[in-house]
Amino acid sequence: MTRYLLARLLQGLMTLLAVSVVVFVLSRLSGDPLTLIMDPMSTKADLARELARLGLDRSYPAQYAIFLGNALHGDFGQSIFFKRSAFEVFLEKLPATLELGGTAMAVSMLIAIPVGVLSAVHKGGWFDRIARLVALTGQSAPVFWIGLVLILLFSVTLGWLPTAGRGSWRNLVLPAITLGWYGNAFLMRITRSAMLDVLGTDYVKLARLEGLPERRVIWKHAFKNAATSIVTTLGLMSISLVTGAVVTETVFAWPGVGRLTVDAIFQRDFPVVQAAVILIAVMVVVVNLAVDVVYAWIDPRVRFQ
Amino acid sequence: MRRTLMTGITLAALAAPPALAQSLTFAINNLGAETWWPQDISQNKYISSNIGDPLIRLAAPYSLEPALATGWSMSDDGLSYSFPLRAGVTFHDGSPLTPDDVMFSFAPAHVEKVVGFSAIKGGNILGIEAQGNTVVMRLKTPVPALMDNYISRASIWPKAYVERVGIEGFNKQPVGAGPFRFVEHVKGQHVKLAAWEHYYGDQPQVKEITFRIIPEAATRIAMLRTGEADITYNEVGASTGELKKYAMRGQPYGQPAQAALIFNSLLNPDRTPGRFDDIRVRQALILAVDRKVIADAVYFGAASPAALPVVGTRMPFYDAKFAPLPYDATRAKKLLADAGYPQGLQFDFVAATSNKDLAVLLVSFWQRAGIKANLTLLDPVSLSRAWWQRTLQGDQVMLVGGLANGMASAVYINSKSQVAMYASPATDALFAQGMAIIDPAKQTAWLHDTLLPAMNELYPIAPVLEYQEGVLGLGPKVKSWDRFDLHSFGLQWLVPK
Amino acid sequence: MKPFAGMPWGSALILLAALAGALFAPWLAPYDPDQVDVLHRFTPPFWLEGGTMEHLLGSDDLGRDILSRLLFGGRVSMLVALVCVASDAVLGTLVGMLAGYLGGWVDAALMRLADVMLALPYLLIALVVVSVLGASLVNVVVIIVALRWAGLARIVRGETLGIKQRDYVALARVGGVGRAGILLRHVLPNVLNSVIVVSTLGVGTVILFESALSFLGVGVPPPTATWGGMVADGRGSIGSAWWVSLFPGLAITAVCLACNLLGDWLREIFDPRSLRA
Repeated sequence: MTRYLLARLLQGLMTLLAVSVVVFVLSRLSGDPLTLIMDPMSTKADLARELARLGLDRSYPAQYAIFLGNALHGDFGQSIFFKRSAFEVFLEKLPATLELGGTAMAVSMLIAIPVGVLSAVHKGGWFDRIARLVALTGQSAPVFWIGLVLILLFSVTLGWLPTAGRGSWRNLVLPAITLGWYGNAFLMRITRSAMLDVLGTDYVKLARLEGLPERRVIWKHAFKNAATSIVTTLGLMSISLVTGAVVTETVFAWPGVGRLTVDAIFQRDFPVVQAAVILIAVMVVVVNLAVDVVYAWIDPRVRFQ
Repeated sequence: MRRTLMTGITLAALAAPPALAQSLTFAINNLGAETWWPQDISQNKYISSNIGDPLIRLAAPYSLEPALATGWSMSDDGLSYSFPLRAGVTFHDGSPLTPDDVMFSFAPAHVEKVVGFSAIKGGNILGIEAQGNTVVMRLKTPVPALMDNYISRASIWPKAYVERVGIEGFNKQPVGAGPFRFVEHVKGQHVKLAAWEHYYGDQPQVKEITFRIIPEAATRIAMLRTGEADITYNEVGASTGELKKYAMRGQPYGQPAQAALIFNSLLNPDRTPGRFDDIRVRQALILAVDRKVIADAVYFGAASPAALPVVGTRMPFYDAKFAPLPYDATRAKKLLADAGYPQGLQFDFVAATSNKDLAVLLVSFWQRAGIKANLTLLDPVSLSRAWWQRTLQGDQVMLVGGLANGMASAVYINSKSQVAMYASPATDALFAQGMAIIDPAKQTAWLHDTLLPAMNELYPIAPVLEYQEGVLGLGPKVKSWDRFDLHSFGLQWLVPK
Repeated sequence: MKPFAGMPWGSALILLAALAGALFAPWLAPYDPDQVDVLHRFTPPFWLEGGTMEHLLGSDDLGRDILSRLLFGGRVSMLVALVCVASDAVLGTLVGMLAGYLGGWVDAALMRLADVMLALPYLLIALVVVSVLGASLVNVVVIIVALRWAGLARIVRGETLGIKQRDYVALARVGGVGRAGILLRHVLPNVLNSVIVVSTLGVGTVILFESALSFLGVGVPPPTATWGGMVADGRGSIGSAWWVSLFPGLAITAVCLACNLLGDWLREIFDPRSLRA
């Protein structure tokens, strides 16, 4: 077990190293940030001086070596644009993204799990059809369009909720629905097929034969058994909600890491782009490790592979 | 100038007490670096310049007004400027404005680090000293349009305060002598400013202004409709029309700007001969386009056909005889035929994603005139890079944006600057000639008498449309806002209902 | 078992209609989709006041006919989706089968590569890549393919590992069938079910991905119309000229829903266990 997890950890670290190379090379290829931060009237000599000041005049391998050495100490360099630590800038925006992602996940669970369970129970019935249609719609339309339509409906026409920004819980409602509705199709599928599996087992048939009420059979016996695969799915989903929030954050002016990174990309703020992509990859690796641990813990066969 | 300003204050004091009960919300697209120390600022100057006033204000192109200085004078050689300071001005922390603060704000060590400001960098400020209540700045080499480009862009910050709290402290709580004082800044979300009760100039009419950062234009318009925002920033173009649909007013503001076609093959002074060397080809590209229709329909009247580079048609000393080229597809075809392209022309056309609509319309008009343009869209930074760093190979046509505000825009014909739009020994000589003129009155005369005819003769680039930098959407709680400062929003002139 | 039992006929019809519309766009579309007419901008659909039969679904901000753009845009959107999904299917299946069957360092190398692809925040990476290469139809397709193959490769690898242990594969190996032969004749047919299901579900994802790129300004560039680009362009006037973004938005929703429902149905009838979790 320990050996297995150590091997996974090592693989995770290799992944991160590769991610750092990819993002470094890509961001360097996209040109330098000077066109944005320099006075248009500056001369070529000014440009060269500024490049040297930012350390961008060295060769790419040299730049990468410096970058990697610093990154290992948690130093992703100064944001060219914000003139502050890129790591700090990222961390500052992370709570907003986690808040939105967490709420969206709650929204997803609230919709997807009951719908998944009930549509498995009523497989092929009208509930199954309609509920799945509604759940799937969130993953069938452009997220920004859904967001804007929700704004027009609930903010402009009905006046129930604020349009954009972060503040009270009311600001959270529309972006969380937009993002959560997008995420729920995946969760609903897993719930539904896990439930279908469990409902077909002898264990559930036995519970029914014992004359237990149907509701108890479904929620107490069947759902409990389906829950393991649902929980591991939630782990994977949490990542896609963080990385998938870029568009939602833009539409609702939500000050999170997605929007930060998009701006940084367009401004060629390499340190921030590198910090964001690598730290998101760290989250992916950590969550995957956690999922592995849970799997190994549930399923003894994995431990001895 | 000074007297008018003082009359203004007296009148304001005599009238009924200003209605300061209002607080307004302003939805902006971006707050740049989210810092306040001037060295770090590249994009939020419009807001920060309301906190810190400059010595001299640029109210409109070529219209300078006294601000913290009551005026200025320049030595004949253009190397020494003196600024008598206004008496009785206090910063938001209660400390009085002194020459020390001005000297501190323009201290060479500071200026060197400020983004931009290239002409007064590199040791060009030899010294800055106080003579009584007057500040004297001495330069190594003269800087044409020093007031318009530099002095009016630089806010004055309180020396004692900055030294006490440091740059970090200043970034948390900036203090200046402008019409609005800083209240709070929640990063990524909003900035709140409040009217400064002891402002020396025109009294702010709005008690509190909250700037909210809303990146998506459609969301900003929705907020204007719900009343969550009273003012929105809009790029010139489609959202201007959306404003009109909801009976919201669109108020252009900012420097006169142009969208122009520049030619990659003409950016290099020692170039090989190419198709766009021929002025007839460049003119044909403009003649083939009905710019009036585009300006009215797509820009909702917020733009108009442009005539020549450097000097916009609305500048006070523009010469009306250089009217914008008309829409004349027949003449365009004839010019192309004369230039040796009777079968039409085909070229690669590069534009920024932010200029997509205009680029598509140009392509469509050209197509009707037998000109085939293969459009490539780049994100704005990539396009600037292609232009400023000359990374394209070939004779592409680029659609770019630039200012057309007179002397400051002459930089576009200076082949040594990175933003050169056209490079040739002739234009370089012209630029050098203009830059040697220090007296502002003689400069404008030179622009009118020499530069405009030369540009008309040469037609080095093909200006398409002219407009101001942006359009402000005004909601029902705003009575009027028609006076601005070109380097800040000029929030003191915003009048609520 | 009846082969079409429970088949979502509505979804199949929607997809057929969309495909037909795209295929016959040059004959069905009343206008050139890129034809600009600035004097007739924002014409409403024919049933609204101010609408005309000349523009059945209205016109957009540059006066282009929405119906025509919808038909031609569907062409590009679905072509992009199909090309991406098919390329990913080929790439993912190949990588997955090779990794699973060959094992050893090939497996390790390919799967680490897949790990990297899956750890990259794909939308952000796509943005960076487009800012390097510039936005073009081909670039958008290449980026989507490059970022998406890894998920399928993992699934196929898992299934291949299982199939490798089966008796008939061992028998074939003993019988002297080469690696290529075993992969083609025995492994491929058995992983195909999963590939088809994942690909069907992927069509919608690709269309949405392209629209997200358009929203961020780096999608398939004009004048080429795509559904995603049309919704993104129309969002500026979503309050007043809702038809500009509504019709392409509905088209995307209908096609994506149809693919999702069809994919779910295929999954049920093929029942590949590996897709359960």
